[in-house]
Amino acid sequence: MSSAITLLLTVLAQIAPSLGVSSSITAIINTLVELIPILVKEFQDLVPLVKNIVDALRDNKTITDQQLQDLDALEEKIDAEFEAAAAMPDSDGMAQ
Amino acid sequence: MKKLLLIATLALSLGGCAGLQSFYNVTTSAVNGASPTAIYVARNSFDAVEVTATNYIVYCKVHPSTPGCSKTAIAKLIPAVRSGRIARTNLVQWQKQNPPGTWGPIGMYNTLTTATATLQQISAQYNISGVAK
Repeated sequence: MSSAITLLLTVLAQIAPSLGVSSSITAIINTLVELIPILVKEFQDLVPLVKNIVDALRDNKTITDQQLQDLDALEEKIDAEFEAAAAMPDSDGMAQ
Repeated sequence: MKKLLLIATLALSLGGCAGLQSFYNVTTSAVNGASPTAIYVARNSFDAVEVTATNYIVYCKVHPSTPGCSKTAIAKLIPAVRSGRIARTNLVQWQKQNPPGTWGPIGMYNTLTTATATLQQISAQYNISGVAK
């Protein structure tokens, strides 16, 4: 499930520069809003990121300093958690 | 739900190819770069893939014998995430050195979205999200 979501986000990132047609933005927002209840249940970690995208596309205006600061803080946490995971010792028994 | 996601993904892909293409050509030129919204979306998209990678690595290191856990996948994920993070950091630094609302360099933007796509490909190849959580 989350692979489909991350794929969706990847596609969104690729087409974001071309988002100038309001009907397209509305369709994307509606799709993402439909996903949120499922994300809340199964993939809580991804919810803030999807919400950020929804907010950015819904407002369709300049990203605020506060939004950037919040994302900076979130990314700091995400990066720290990744590095902590990468530093965990390997266990025996994992397939190649 | 999987059908909905598939349809949504296909719709977005098709939308990107059809009516939006001409607008894309205008808004992603070397002159115009990428809008602040596009950069913001790209950052969040990369972060989402990084979170998925983190969950996979943690789960597989704690439960190494779980089917789908792969040392090779982890070995590919770690440098790919770090490489993407460099691209994201470069873009963020560029934004901080320029006035708010300035459109970013398309090259840096493309580097970040390519890194996200690379991670997505690794995720799909090893069914990473099917194992994590």
